[in-house]
Amino acid sequence: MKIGFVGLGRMGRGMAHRLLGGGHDLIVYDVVPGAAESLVAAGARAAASVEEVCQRRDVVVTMLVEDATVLDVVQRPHGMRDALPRGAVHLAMGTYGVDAVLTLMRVHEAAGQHLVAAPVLGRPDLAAQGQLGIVAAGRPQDVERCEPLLRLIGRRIFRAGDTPTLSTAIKLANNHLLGCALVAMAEGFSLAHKCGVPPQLLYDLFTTSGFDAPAYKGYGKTMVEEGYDTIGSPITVGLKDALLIRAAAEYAAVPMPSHNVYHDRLLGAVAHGDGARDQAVLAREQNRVAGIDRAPGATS
Amino acid sequence: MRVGVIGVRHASDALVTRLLQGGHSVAVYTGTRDSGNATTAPGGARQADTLADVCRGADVVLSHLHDDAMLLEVAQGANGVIASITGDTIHVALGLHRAKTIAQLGAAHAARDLRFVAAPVLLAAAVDVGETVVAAGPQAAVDALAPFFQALGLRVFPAGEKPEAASILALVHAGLVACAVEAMAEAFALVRKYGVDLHVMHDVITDGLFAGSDVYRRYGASLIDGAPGDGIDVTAARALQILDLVMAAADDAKVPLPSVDACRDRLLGAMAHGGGEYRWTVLNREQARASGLD
Repeated sequence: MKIGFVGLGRMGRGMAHRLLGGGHDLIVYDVVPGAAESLVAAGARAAASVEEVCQRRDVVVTMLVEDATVLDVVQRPHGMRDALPRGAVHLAMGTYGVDAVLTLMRVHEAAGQHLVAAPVLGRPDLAAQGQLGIVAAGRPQDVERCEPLLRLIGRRIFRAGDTPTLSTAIKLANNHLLGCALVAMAEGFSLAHKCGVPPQLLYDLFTTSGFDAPAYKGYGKTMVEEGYDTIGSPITVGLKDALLIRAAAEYAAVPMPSHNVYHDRLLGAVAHGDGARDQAVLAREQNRVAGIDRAPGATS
Repeated sequence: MRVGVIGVRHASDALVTRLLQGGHSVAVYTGTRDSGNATTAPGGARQADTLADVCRGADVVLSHLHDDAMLLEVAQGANGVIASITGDTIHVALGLHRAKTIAQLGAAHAARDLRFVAAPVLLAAAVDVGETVVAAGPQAAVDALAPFFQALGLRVFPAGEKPEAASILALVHAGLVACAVEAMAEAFALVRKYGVDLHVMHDVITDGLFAGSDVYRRYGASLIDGAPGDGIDVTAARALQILDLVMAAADDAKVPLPSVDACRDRLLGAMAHGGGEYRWTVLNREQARASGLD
């Protein structure tokens, strides 16, 4: 297939390499100069513009961080709306919000193009290995066309249905669950700490008693060790996604009190200068409100 | 071993039966008899008439109570456990109690060279390890109890020498479970509004970040299909009592717990709509109601 790929960041680059490995005709684009280097070395072509990356393509993948960016890439003059062939598919794999996806649906339909929303689950190391989870939604014939690409990128594809916003909702809800797990653990660790119970003991208990899962084991370990400068997922990205979840909840009129707690703790982390640290630093924010003031790495 | 069980009529029957099956000699005390209503312990267990009687000659005395006031009375009241046991007995509190209560009892036993172990049972555990007690108290006592618990089919998580640590750990664990359930209820309400099939959502949840978590898998399934299970079958009223204990510990330690509180409020709402005696996963229905669903 003739594929275009826009967005060669931490996730996108690994995903694009996986597509190249499938023997497809791949052209890539990123605003950052040099982002395409490793892909070009491996046999991809580099485009100089969004228009160029869309030429004669069957499918163009976008893997962008911000809604505003993907909307601009699509709607700008000579952007995807103008340059993607009629009948081609925009395979939108970034974590975009409901509002953005609805706009993309409308814009692509008017242009005779097709949208498949296929946000991914997993981090950059899984992206490079083709081990992501993918939640795909769109017209069945469009999702099927994308299937060979999704199989290169992911370990497992979840079919969410015919409307792109279905996978958007699932992806945002899953991120909400992670955020809630983080603040729940943070609250637990702070209570244990104040009662003289070692955090490691609490960690050992819950990771062997019903919470033997990456979310709790990985982020929980970071909280116990206070290793907040090893970034898996930074606070700023968490906040970006939290705002998308809030917007999705507002649009659907769903009160989400636990999510609000997560959102507020994210704001607190930013307010205290922890915005660039890993999301596990929410434990530090919870400690602040509980009157436990420790610098990272403190052992007292 | 000779085991004395201090429990609540009928609620302690399963425990007594397990002890008898384990070959122990069991005496049971469940409070004063109602007039004309004979209280009989499960077959094979001796019905004790007083606390002193149930403690007499016991190797282990198990307090299997839900209520802190009752536990304190039983332990510290006139002719209670502390007055009745010897240094050879181990007094074990199996229920979930306030950390303060457990600390007080720990000190009261230690002051008289008596052995006290807090061994609350976790609200939910992993299916492959089974029902779990978190046990804390004098090291030798906890060590001595380990084979006793294991023979009863209970997994033991040792938690050091301070009995109240077991209480805190079990309560924090319950808080984590509650937070996960509330978070899932909110997630389900959100995606339902977008037309998502909850079974697809459950598949996604249990595949990646939460893969391997029996809490997310079983409680998630229960929220969708009403499937029963350990910890899930607790009533909303009882779950509220448990979260009240968590919040009491938080009050004592001056730790805000907004996520636990969010779950607690949902439970209150569920009870306000008549769900007190339902499984506590009825809070899912409450979240749906709050979202204009159903």
